[in-house]
Amino acid sequence: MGSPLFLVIVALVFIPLLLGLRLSMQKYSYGIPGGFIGLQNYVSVLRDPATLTAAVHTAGYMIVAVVLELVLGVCFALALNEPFRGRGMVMAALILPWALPSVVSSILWLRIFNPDNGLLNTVLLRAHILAEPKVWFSSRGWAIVFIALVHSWGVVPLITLIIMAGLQGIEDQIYDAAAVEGASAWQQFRYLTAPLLRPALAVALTTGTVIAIAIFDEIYVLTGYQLNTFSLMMQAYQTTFTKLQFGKGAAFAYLVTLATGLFAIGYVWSLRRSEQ
Amino acid sequence: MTRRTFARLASLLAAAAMVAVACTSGGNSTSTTAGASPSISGQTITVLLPPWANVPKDILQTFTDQTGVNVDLQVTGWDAIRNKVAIAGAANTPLADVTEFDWSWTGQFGRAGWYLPLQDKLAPGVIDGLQNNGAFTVDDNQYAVCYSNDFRISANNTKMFSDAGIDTAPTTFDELTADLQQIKDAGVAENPLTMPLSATEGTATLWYLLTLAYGGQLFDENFQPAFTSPDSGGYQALQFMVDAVDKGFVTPGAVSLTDTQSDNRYTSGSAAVTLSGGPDEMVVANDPSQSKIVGDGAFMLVPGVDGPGATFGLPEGLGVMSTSEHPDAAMAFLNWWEQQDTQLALQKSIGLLPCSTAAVQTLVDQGKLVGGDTINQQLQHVAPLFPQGAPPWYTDFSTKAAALINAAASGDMSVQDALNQLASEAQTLQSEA
Amino acid sequence: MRTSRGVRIVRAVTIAVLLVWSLGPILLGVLTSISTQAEVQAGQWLPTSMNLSGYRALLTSGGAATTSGFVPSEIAAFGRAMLNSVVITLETTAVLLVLAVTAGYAFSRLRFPGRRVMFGSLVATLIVPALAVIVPLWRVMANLHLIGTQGGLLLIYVSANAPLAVWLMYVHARELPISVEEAALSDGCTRFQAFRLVVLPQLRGGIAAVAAIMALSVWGEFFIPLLFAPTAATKPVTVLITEFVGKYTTNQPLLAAAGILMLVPPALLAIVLSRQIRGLLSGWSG
Repeated sequence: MGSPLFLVIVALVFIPLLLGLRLSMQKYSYGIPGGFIGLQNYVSVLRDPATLTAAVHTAGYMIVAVVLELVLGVCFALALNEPFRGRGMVMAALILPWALPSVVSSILWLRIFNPDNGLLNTVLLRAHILAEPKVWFSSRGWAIVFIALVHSWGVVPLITLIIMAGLQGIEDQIYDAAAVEGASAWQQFRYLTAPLLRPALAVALTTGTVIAIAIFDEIYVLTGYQLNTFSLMMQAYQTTFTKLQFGKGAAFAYLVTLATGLFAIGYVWSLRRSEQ
Repeated sequence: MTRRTFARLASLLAAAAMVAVACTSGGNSTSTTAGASPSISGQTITVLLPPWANVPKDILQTFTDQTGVNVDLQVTGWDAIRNKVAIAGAANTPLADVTEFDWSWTGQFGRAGWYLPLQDKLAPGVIDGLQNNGAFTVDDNQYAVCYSNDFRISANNTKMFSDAGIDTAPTTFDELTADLQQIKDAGVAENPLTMPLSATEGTATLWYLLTLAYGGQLFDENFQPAFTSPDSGGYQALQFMVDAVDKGFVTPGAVSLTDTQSDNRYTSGSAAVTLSGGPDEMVVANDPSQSKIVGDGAFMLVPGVDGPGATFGLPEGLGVMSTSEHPDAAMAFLNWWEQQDTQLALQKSIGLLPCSTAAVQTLVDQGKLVGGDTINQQLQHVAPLFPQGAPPWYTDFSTKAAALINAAASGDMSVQDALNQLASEAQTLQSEA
Repeated sequence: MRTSRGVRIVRAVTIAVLLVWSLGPILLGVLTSISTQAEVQAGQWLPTSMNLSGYRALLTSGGAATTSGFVPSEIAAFGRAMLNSVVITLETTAVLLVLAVTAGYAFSRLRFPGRRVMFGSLVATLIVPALAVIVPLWRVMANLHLIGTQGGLLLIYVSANAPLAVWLMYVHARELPISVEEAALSDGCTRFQAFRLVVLPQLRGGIAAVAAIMALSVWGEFFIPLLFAPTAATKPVTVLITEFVGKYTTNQPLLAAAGILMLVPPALLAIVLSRQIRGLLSGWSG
């Protein structure tokens, strides 16, 4: 029963992965294929100072986004786990940010961050917190925070649903026993729910990290090719499509995959250890 | 053999088959009969165009009536077309027969061999009647024929000017600066100029325009940067842009504006002058659903040093991909598109400015082009951005230019530093090419 | 009452935060969609009057102003694109649910050689970004003549989303107590009967959650259909909406209206699926 699925995955994922690996070891000059050059592409990517800058920016996005997503995701999932009147409508509201394509939502958020007449500046100016309009995205720190904010706005629904899926598997009976013993809601959460959520948290953390590392649209719509915001995926994208260095672009993408994989293994391993 | 083992063997066999299929390079069985016109009737060609070139069905029908060839028109976003062409090119598999071909792609896509040279394949006289052929030519091969005659032209708000006491549009940068100051001082507009200064393509395009307008060039014949010394056109252009921020001619938020957003400051009546508008500017400015300055806008020649400055063309063309399976039908499509009546019909229905000199003249004579006189005047000052042909690293250079201009305008680096860094990047790119 | 007043207040506050967080920018989108382009550019938040021309154009397939920034034939394609999105989302979700539930169950209950490797390699593909495989994938798809076909798109979606779906169902299935199944098995049920009659009902909540996750992921896909579903017959609304840009202007109200309209099907889906997600009070069924 699993074999048709496996077949499709082999054809459409594993084979391209292997072919891509071969591609990553070829030289391309503006779209014109050169020869096989082994690991030179990988070395060239790692040696490039821009890669380090991109990695720093990407780490920033990842940390801010994943923390925000997890905190909100767990809170929202817990709040939604009990049926109440109108829960369907609230859930519909929850998923809307995820359903909107990131390009469109970034354009919407621009109306908030626009330095000249955006909502944020208008509100802050009226409240006399700002003396003059501030160009938020010019500063690296603010830009990273706001881009991560816009990104996580769209991802929180997914994380919430993943946690909810995890909560579904927790039996009611254990809470009854705990309530009988006089445990408070917070204690119930800390000692019963949280540990049982660990597998779901691993899924949520991994997914959130993967998506955060792949940020592209938000950065591009909000800041273009600015020197203080570009991410690893933007670098990989430009290597592939602007410079037409397909081999090096593939190598870049594989390096990003490797880094993401290390994070994922880290999450799963540490969460599994705390299970024992 | 258990069910599971069998299943896994089947998977492996199928996988092996997949590998075999996948490793055959995307073959295309083009059976080009040499020389004279082979029969193309009954074929279907795939055409890939951006949304603003979405040809209405009735116009496409005239092509089918003429040649018997059916057209499958696929509309895709402009960036996406470029990416698809790149991917299909890398994978060496067919994508479409005819696609959009932007002038900035010539250096890269032309040299990579992804498009067919057109110079001897089209109907006689087609290429000669068109403008902008040079933009699509590299190494003596022309890879596309122009279909949209885009170029940059400035525009101003005549009412704001007259309110500030100015009755003629400026033609030099000195006059422009004085006029902007006058408008600002008169309280007519707080930030009378609008420019894109974000790290996006439109910003680089503006800088190129101003470089040419200041009488300079980006590169010399050997592709060495010509914009680093303070008396060069490029340097003066960037200085003008940075000064505009410092003097308050543009809003502080200009560093986050794209070209379309910047243009909207003009059509919403916040700014009196926009420097890098398109030939469509007045159509938008006079549309009440999009503009608040109906009737007040007018084209303005791009200012220069001693008189009107040069502008450059950013034409879009149609190219035939090398992997096309119906190259003759594709060529026929190009021939049909460049016919006079087709070009005029397209201008009427979707607003594309034709590339054939005769067609433009017809439109101007019949008064069908809004602001036609100024357009015609401006067309006389159009210079190519790369007289030597666009290099393959042009897109890369543009990206870096936009980022550095943005940094300079944001105050993160000086004009000299930004230009020096851009120059060294360009030299690196050129040496790698 | 099991839930104390304190907890209920916290819950109410959390829901309020959720609503503001999710709906705030959406509300802005709605306001943008009923403004005029000129108002949006001037940064005016509340339109002076409702401008429904964007919605009208999208819902009646055309007939709106033909100026630059407004591309009538693109608007006409909106209805078809929405249909494409709905169809592919439903198909993919159905296929994925069947595969993920069976695979997740199999991985958690059955023991067979290579189980760990298969599971690990399947889930590991989650971390691969599309950019890494896009060129070879294009070549494979082109050689199999699957580009522009709904079947091809379905295959890619399934293979791209299966890792998450299977992982989630695996986690969910693992938490179920085996005792009920074992009772059923010792009563003479085959494993398949036990699965169908005993396990599935218990998985219902998790299945609903996974269905929601999968449906939304597929609904929001952009990069894959951009490349592999370029024809009018397959193009989803996520791709079409990015074509509402003119050469020189972007019609903001129209773009916002299209964005709001494309939120309707997912919202409906969420309402439907939320009924299946059990709460603490519903207990085990079956």
